[in-house]
Amino acid sequence: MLYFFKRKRVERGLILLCLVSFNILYAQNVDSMLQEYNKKNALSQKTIDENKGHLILFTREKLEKMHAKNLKDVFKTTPVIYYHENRYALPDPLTSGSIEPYRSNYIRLYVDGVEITQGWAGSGVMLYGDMNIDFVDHIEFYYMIPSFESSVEPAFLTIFLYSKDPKRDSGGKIDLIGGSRGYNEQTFSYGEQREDFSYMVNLSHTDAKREKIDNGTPTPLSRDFERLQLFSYIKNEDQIFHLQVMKKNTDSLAGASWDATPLVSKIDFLNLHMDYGIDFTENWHALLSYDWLKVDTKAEDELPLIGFPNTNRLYVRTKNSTLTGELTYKKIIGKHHINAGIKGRDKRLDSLELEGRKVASPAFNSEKIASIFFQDQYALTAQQLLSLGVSYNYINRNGGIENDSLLQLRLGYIYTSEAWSYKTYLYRTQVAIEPLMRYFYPQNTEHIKAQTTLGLTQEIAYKKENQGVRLILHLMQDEDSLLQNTYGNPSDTKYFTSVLNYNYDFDKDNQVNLQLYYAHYEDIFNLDTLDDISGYFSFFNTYGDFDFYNGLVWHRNSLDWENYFDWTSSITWNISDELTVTLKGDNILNKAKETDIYRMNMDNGIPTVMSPLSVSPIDQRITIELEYMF
Amino acid sequence: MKKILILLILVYGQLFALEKESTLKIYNQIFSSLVSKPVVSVYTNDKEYKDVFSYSDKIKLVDTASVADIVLITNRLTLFNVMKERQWMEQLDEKPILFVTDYRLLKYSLDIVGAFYWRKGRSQLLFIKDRLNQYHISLPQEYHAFMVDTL
Repeated sequence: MLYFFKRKRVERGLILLCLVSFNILYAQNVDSMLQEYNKKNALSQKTIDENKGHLILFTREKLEKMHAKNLKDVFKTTPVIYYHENRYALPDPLTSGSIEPYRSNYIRLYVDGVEITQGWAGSGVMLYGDMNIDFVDHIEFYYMIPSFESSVEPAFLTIFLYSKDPKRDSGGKIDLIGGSRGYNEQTFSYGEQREDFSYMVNLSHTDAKREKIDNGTPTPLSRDFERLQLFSYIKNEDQIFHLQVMKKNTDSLAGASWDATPLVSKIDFLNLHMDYGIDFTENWHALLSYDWLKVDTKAEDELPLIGFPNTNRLYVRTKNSTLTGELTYKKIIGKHHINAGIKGRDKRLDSLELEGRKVASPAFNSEKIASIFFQDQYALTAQQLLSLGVSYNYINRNGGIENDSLLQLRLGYIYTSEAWSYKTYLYRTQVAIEPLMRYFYPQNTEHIKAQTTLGLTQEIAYKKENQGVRLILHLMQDEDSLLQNTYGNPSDTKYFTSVLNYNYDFDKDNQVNLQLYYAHYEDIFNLDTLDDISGYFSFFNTYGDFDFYNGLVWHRNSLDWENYFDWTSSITWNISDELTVTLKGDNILNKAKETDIYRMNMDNGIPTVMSPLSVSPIDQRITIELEYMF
Repeated sequence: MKKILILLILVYGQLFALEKESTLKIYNQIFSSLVSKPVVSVYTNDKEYKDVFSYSDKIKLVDTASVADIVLITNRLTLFNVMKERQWMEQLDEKPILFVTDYRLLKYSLDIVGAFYWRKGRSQLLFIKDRLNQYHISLPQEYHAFMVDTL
């Protein structure tokens, strides 16, 4: 043993003598090696499933550089479907600004591969669409035709948020943000990798003082909210348990007031999400998740409320729960990658209280969904893949409401080479109307048929060392369009969308990204045609201890061909490895995209259309942030 | 058939958390700059790194820390165990070199010469000059941008 250690000392002495010859070995610059390592080891690369659909990716590095603190900061930059809020000030990207309660139920949100659903109230986007994303490592947006292994209910856009892993983000972090109008946010997180398991806890509090909206009365509309959010998990090699709690008390803008002059307009949410996932073997996986939501809605107006012609005051509390279970199997057999599974979901309206008193639940208070899917990815050659997917969903409702049988089909082809990639999908998907819409429009939705959508997408991409370009083309047509049905308009919507992305890395510290989007719609809302154009240009630069981000989102559509610009800029000073200070401006030009909120004058009992309120979901805001890691 | 299997794995998403090729490349460089041997003996109890290093012809995995040239530590508990083991060794330069994958671990022991870790989605390489000096290690010019005098 003594000989061994003496030998070690001699060897270390030799290092000095060998330095010159060693330098020859460092042909590849350490910087470029680190750059390559960063790209190839981004956690996002591990979760991307090329067959899941067309992807817009926000890596951890990108999220950090953008200083994206809430999902809204990211969602406002995406093409095709981007962030909007409805007349209740809730995240609702597909809102038309009209009086429908919620339109974005076909956007589904997943955390670590598990759907967060508000069950009876609809998609998780409603509450989590602008959630604090401090716990998030990276975000994947899959467009149009998500593969079937993750979805219980059909969707056109799936948003996957993946949490940080203590293996890379161990330790604690305190993040303090203060900004315009008294906006403030505090986040605490701690994660640790132990020998056999790891865990993470992330707690945040947001007091969002937001811009008020002038409605022509001395009391402008408010959409301030206060949110307490907990995200946590514990996991080992083959099991994971998540616990999430969100409490959000929000002023709900125009709410249920026809002319947007409510006396009271508030919605308070309390949400709990738990899930447990286990890999029994390499092939078998099971998941059980539970979502519970309590909603307190307070609405008062001088005139009757939207959806309630006989009352001008509504203090209602609902509780609903959703239980989801699934068992999936995947295996590579020869040239086939088989993926199959069964899933079940039970959505319940647990209780209903009016003015603090329990009332009998409506006859329709339960929806059960059974789903089965099969997917085969067949490798034609080492570069080409053919995929076939079939999914069948059966929705059973009580209270005399019709059941639905939904069939989804998906045929895909993928080609990949080192520089080029191409994929195309042909699909048929069906979606049924959500329970919440059935309550608001009982006559229109009693015998409503499920919507069938046929679509074709293509994506071609080319990448070369430090740059990449990609084009996505998409054609889609609805049959028995749900929205048109509820409004009594028989037309079916046709969609054409195209997205062009280009990125160029000057070096590891300087990057530029460009995204252009064009869409043409026919028979959408009450319009014959609608053209929608947007762009997102972003620049990331690092000089010494300073990071700079500049992002410009541009929107324009055929309603008025007005240009909207949302410029976000930030400068970060990395004082040390533990401490950073950031100054950030959102919507600096105060010209971000606006949504029209429609108003009706009901004074004389005869509805008269008023000029709509133009409301931007993006506040103009300056913030200063202090981040300390320990 | 092997190529087809790789395609299915890549298209579906990779099965391993660490990308082997780039991880091996960087650790081969780091370790051979710390120890001037054609094959460096490395001890780690981390399953993922063990798996990656098992593909290297420049790194030889050993079962105990005391016979290693370099000990790669990925968590606090392992660090404490290794530090306890090292106490009986008489001279510092006879002890294996400690290298970590977590910035915070650098603070627990003055014997750790450096770290390769993640910070806000980017990898960071850091060597501490006075600790390298204790081991009489001089790194090539290429690494000077990644060195700090003290922590």
